[in-house]
Amino acid sequence: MSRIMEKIYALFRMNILIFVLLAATVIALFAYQNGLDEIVFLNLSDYPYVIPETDSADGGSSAVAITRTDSSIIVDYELKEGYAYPYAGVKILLGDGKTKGLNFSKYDSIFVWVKPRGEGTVRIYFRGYDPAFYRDGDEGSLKFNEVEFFPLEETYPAVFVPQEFRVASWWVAQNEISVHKARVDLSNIPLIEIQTGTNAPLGYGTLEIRGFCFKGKKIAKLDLVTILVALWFVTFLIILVIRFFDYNRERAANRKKQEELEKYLEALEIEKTEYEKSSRTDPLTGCLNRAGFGSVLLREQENLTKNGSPVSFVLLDIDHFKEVNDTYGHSVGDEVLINLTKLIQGKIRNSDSLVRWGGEEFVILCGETPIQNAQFLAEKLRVAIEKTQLIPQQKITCSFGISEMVQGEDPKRLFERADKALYASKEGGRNRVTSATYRRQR
Amino acid sequence: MKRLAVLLFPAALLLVSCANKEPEVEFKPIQLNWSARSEAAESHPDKDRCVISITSSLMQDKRILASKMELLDYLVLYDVNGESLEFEGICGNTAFKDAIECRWKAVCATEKNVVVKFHNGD
Repeated sequence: MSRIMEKIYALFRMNILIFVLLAATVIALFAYQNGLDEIVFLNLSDYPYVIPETDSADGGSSAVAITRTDSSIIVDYELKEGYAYPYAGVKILLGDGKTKGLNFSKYDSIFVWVKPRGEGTVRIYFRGYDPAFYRDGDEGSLKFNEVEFFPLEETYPAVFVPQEFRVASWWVAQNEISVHKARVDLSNIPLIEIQTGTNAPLGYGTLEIRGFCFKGKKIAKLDLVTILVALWFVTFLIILVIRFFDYNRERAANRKKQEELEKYLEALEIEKTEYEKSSRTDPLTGCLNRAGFGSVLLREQENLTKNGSPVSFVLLDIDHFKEVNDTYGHSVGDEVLINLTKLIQGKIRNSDSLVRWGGEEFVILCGETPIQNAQFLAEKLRVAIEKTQLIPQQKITCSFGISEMVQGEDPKRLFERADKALYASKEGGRNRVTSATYRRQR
Repeated sequence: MKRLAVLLFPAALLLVSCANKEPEVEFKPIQLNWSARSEAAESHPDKDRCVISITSSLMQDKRILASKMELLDYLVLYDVNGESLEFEGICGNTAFKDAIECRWKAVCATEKNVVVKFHNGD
């Protein structure tokens, strides 16, 4: 069941349905225009109650006689003087002749086969029952929907459209009916009268009534249009509802996707930060590496240029580190590096940056520090390292080289000066602090 | 050709003069090996300030910067004298022991500027 519903759902979701509906509308309108006809023959033999009538009821003296054959009713009459409008004819009862009849309102063409043997017109009354005017037992209160015509000699039928009928004006006058209600109504016809027309010549005549035929559409135009409009309306309503649900579903999915993307982005940001941090940090000691040093140096350079704040550079190297590695192994060497880093980190300010320059060489970049203060710091560090047992195997000392940054100089020169000072410390017997003092520009 | 040279020369001169020249820095390596003569000197409250002041004075002294020695290596002995600290610097390199910058004295008193006096009376 759900699969069928899914299929219907899919069908409605497709725009092809609109084209199908459009094609169906065109076909329906074309079929209505060129087909869908309903043709009904009124076979006279099916209606046994056929009553002759003349103007004798109105005081005239005309005579009539009817003969029924298999396919027709032959009315022989003689019109005589006596009544002002002499007539003769026949009544065909379609129902009970009073209140129950046939509905001809849905037909748009009425075919009448009447063959006269005489001159003059023929009058047809479709007597309509309308409860508003009908008086019980009074046949005269049935509405006179009339048409009068000259019948053809040939066998062709006379053709009428309902609009060609009118309600007899004398009947409207006699019954005092409002003109608004005196409209042709063929919805309930219990009786048809066929008579000689107005001013029919006196004397003998014959009318051969062969039958009636009614032609209409199987479906009324209004009904067809209503059905089509309803079909379009319902289809569009369903499509609209489905689109609405689709849109809601899509929006929820998009929101979920966006949330997932934001989570991924957040995770990537964290990962990126971690990568950046790890790329700037020495994995063994946790202090900055050369890549990390670049950004710190740039910051301090800017500080010096803008504020004239002095920047000093302390380069330190572990004495005889190769011997430590060679004698005790690299793990002990690593222990020296780690413990030395911890010791220095504990003695410098948070604003100072400790950088592992490579191997056993370290740099301390001291912002807002003149060379004499850096010298003092280095001396303190030197003594602290000398006094601390970094590894149990042997005493570790460091040599220091210090320089102060000069505004506008290449950092390479700063490093060269510090390196030369460090070299002097090494040459002087190690475990020393050497400052590269310089001539200040005043 | 001459006209082109006349045009190019001032342009090149302008470019050279506008170029950001890197300052040339003359420097002198200096080692100060501090050694207290007494525990009182080592724990004196003004010791750190005095050490930094003396270092600064020495580093800025023209005799140090003009020294013929490639490395100025001083052993600095210090002791308490009354409320002051007395510092005496002696060159480690004996080859230049007669040089004016090879021997100096400084007295560091509270809230006073330190004056480094080199031995031959300067």
